[in-house]
Amino acid sequence: MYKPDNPFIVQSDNTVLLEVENALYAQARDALAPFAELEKSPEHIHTYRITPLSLWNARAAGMAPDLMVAALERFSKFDVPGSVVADVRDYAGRYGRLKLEKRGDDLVLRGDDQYLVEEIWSHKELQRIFLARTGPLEIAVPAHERGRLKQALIRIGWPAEDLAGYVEGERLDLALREETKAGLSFGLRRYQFDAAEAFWAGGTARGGSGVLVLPCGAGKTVIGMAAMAKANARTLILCTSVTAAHQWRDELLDKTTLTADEIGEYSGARKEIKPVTLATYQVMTHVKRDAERHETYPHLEIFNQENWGLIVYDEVHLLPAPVFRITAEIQARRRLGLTATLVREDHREDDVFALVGPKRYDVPWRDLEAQGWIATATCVEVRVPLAESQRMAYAVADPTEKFRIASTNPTKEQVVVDLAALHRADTVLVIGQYLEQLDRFARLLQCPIITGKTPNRERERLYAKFKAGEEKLLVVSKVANFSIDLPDANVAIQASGTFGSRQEEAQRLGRILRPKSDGGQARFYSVVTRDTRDRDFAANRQRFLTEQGYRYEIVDYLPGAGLSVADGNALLAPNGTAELPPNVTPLRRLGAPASPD
Amino acid sequence: MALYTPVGWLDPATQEIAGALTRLPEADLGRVAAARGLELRQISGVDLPTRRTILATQLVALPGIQLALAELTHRDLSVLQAVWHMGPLPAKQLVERLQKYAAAATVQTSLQRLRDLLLVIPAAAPGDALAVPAAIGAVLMGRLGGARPAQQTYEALNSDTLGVICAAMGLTPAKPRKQDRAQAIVAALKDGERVRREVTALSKDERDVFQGVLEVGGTVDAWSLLQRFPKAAGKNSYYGYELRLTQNAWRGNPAPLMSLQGRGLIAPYGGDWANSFTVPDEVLQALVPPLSLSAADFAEPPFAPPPPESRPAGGQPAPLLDLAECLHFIDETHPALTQRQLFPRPAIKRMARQLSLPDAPYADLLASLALQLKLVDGNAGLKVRPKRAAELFEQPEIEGRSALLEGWKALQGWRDDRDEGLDRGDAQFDIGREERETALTQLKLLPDEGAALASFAARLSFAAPLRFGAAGAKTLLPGDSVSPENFARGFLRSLAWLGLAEPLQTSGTPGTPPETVGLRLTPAGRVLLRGEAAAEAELPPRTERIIVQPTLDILAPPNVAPALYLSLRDFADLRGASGMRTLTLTPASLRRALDRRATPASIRKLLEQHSDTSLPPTVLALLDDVGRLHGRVRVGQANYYITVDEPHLLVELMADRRLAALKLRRLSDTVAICYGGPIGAILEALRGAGQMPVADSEAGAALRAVATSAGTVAKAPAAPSRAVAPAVFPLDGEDEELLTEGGGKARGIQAVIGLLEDAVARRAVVEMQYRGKTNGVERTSKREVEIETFDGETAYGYDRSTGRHRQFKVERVDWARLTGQRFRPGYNY
Repeated sequence: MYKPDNPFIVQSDNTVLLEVENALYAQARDALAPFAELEKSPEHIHTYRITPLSLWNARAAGMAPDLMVAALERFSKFDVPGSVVADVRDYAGRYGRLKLEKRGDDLVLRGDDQYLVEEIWSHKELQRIFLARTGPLEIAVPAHERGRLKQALIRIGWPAEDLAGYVEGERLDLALREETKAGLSFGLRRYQFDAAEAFWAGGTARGGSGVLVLPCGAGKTVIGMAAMAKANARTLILCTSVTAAHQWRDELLDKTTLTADEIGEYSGARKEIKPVTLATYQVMTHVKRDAERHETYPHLEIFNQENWGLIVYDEVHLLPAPVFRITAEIQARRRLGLTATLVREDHREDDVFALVGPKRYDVPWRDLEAQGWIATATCVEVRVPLAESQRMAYAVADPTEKFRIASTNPTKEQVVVDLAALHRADTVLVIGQYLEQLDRFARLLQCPIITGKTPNRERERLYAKFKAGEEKLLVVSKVANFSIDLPDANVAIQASGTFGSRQEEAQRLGRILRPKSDGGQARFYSVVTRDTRDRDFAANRQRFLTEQGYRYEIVDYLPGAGLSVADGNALLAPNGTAELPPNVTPLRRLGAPASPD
Repeated sequence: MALYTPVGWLDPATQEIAGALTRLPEADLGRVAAARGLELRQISGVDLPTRRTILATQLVALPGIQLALAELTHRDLSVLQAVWHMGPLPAKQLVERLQKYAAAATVQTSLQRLRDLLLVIPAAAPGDALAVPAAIGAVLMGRLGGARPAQQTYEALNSDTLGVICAAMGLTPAKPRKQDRAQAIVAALKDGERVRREVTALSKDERDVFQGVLEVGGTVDAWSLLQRFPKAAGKNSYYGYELRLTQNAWRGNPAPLMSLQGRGLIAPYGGDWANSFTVPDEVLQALVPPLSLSAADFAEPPFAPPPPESRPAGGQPAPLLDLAECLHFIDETHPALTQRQLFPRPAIKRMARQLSLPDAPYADLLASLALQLKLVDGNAGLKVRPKRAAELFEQPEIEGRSALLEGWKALQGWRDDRDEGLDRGDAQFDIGREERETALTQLKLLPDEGAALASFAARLSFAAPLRFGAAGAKTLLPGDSVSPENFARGFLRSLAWLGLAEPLQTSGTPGTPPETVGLRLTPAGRVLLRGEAAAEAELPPRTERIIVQPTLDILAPPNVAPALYLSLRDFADLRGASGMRTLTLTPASLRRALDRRATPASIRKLLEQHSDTSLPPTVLALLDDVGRLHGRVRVGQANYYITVDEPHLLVELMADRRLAALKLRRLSDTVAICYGGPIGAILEALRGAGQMPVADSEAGAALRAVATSAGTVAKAPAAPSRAVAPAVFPLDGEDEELLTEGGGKARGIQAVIGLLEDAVARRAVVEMQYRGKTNGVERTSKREVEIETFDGETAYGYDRSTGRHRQFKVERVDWARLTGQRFRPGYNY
């Protein structure tokens, strides 16, 4: 039966295509999101995918298969394919048939059917994990194999409902303030509250482990603190860098009842273990080699040696392999992953879900933008020709070198200068990959530069000046990709990126997505050399943002013609003004007629 | 001239039919012929009796009888069996006897049908009795290939053989004469009880052989029999196999074939030394099971409702779009048909993978339909016929699906009952239009809510028991029988692909796939199969709207117009076809379209025309990028080229009419391709136009003139790769300058090189002192050489001293000098 007014189509490959402009969009989305993953959300059609994992997560949250099928049938334009219904019932039906429970110091895996238990018991991959068969319906499992067992069971399509519970950890009383230390009123936004609740699940075994995916600037740190306030337990927070750790510390002190004595830093420079400890991924993955060249990760012991009640993984998509392993061993502790971009170029997203926990909450970037919680952003790709002086070198170079030559195209320098001039009233970040190029930008723009070599103290001084408005222009290397809190940066100019890294593109955009105090827009420029490998990789990087619903405008830069507002359209004008800077001529926009000038 | 075959010359079975026809009015002859699918032609000079005879011979032909029987429903067949067992009986009595099973009207309808098909005829006996003609009876009892009465069979054997058989059967004829013996055997075989006892007493091997002969219609040639049952006969050192029943063969433990002959169950047909064996008709008759009828044999089984827990399989079939995909695949790959005019299996599998089709047989069906509907042609490499494809796709949806339906109905070799779909094996029985028509007729009667699949299969079996594998069908029709359940499942699968019916499925338990337990018609099915025009309103209307996403995806709904879809496929790749079609724009897909003369502007126009929203900048940018890159590098073929040192000269050459034959085509300001040739002719033409051209070496260096010697048969040298290729031109006279230069010796490698180069350019004969090696021994000699080529290391030329061409290494030249003579070139390029 064809129902044209319904908002989605269920495909037989288990994807659901949802029309954004349909009147029933919001209802359909709310009905679908609990058991389907949002895969892409470009402008008109959002793609959801029903996967075994998404179904199991829904079941873990208590949603019955019939409700899922009913939701599909309610909103589908066409009859729902029988194969999809069968898959939903099949996979959803598997959840709960295997339960992982605590027994003494170890665990027991219990099934509801002898044949099922027999099948699980005979599986070669699992036999290495099991202790013993303790009955027709149960198998003993060592406690430290909890994570690996769950991972392996997911791989073979039989998830275990983990009822073994959590170690509560040593108690730590903390609460969110109603007023920050700076005297500003503070409270959770609705989605932050929902996200924290989705993670905590009332403190039951059904919750307590998972990943929250929210856009940059949405306040993931606040959500992390909300989760800490619910756990009221010693917490280990893993960060991407010392700077990020310091930002966490500042936020904790500003918005919670924690005191400075209760927060420690565990990094290269310091080894403090306190009730709330901020550690970096780098120190965790520090390798020690003994005389026989055996490698160990001595700092990973921090996970086990303290009675943590909660472990927070900031930017969980960056989880390095050694930390994966140790995470598999600490399944008894509550684990919270925070990220804006759960996309890994090595496709280990499933491991994140299996070991840290399922995705508990996500929201399309554009939805938060529409609600005003993150800044509205415009993305612009500025295409420049390769400088003549570089063409021969590019032609004969190998692929990696080609990328470098194209990325460091001298023509980009003038573009960056022109863009910075256009946005002289804004706070601008110029971001790049190649230090020599960044040095040149800094010299041309006569502004500070922050790279990996910049000492932490100097970095923080410059960030502070930038935040205070004393510095309006900053050149940064990829150290600024993550976790840097620069609330009022509203323009980012990306001169080069790391090959095709989608998450880097998204993270960089995230630097300018904090809502602006004046409500203004953010603008993200990506300067790309046309017809080169730079452009090819740029396309991959942009893919993520396009899939999130961000629209890329594409403009050509003509050397000598400069950059400007074109045809009265305030595309490039900062903050809505249409006034032309004095020495700039109009720009040809792709697909638009040339300006009469 | 009249043609006439005396009835008396016909075999009894044909005579019987001919007799029945004589009792029919002439007008009815045509009706009978038509009912049997025959044509009663009016042939000049052929009178009515002869036409009856001709028709009679056609009516007793086995294929015709089989086809007629295949048309019968189970009810009709039951009535026929009744007439055969009970008859001859008047119709009224027959109806009365069958009244306990069915209403009189029902029986009479079947009787009339049987009479129309001449499967039942008025009996020869007086009165209005009806009987089954012998030819039909033979088929009913399992005989394929004409009657084999025992009398006829045994009378053809010699007396000795008959004697052995009588002895083996325990018969004692009155006299030991051939006819007595034959009659004794015949009489024994007419005793049905005796025959059945003999059959029951058969050993396993004997039974296998006997059953094997029955399975092929009661007559078999010896070779086929022995192929299947090598131990059926004993070995004979002279003939190979012992086929005749002799006293010796009967002794001891006779082989199965001997034993069967000894019991009278099988006999040689056509004499003792014949190569075939037959089961006499009397034996077959004895083995016919007794008539067993019930009410179920006369009542069509009803449609049972589908199980309440079953639900439609769902999905959005779009067979026209899938057919468009198939054509696109053919257009790209140009597969070649097999010898049997089928799509090659590897191509089918590739297509199924590429098009994300869940079932490879569906790909097979699409390809078969493409051939059936003549949307493609060619053989060694199929090509799409765009006009025919356009005609199909531009039709409204229902008309398009109707064309697919007709195409599917007419498909030969397509086995709906098999997973492989298209019959690529050795199946003898061809499922074709008749089977599908039978099933479609049943489908028209399907209730709106659908029916259980098992009941549909039961109805198929009732409607055409001999087509759909009813008991005993195997002996009446050759080849594979078709299980009605398998056929129903496969038939439903095909119709589901065509979007005309849908399976009803139960969910199954976790880990087991859903099971198809019922079927119902889709709206399209109701329109096309039941003529319910109103159902067309339930079909999603065709749309020409698509969505173009900034991610470079184009989303086309399942009801998108196929013609538009085909156009989109010209420049976008298919990424997903499970419902909404997802196409994606890539540089490669756009490049392919541009290769086929599309332009970025035309692609953009098409997208803008059909997109619900404005085109995203990413799409515009991609179109622009590909458009810019396309054609930046060009490849062409050129035999020769001309380069000049300034553009004006090239312009002059191109404008010169004397050079028109060279068909110069400018590549750049100073380079043009020349389509004339060979190089000598080009040079000549240029000289004729007043130019002084030289040839280019492979390395691009200008060559001087060189010639070969006059009067020699020039052999093209095996030129070293860096050889200076000679340019050939005629001798214009002695070079006085050269002549006066002759005598100065060049010594040392550099000087020799210079001199040799000069000699090549000036066609000068060179005298040299050369250190050669013969059999490892070095010796020095003076030579006069016409140097033709020189690559800086090795000179090649005609040695006047030895009268042959050879090579000379420059480092072996002690000295060289110009002799002052020139030589005439002996060959041209």
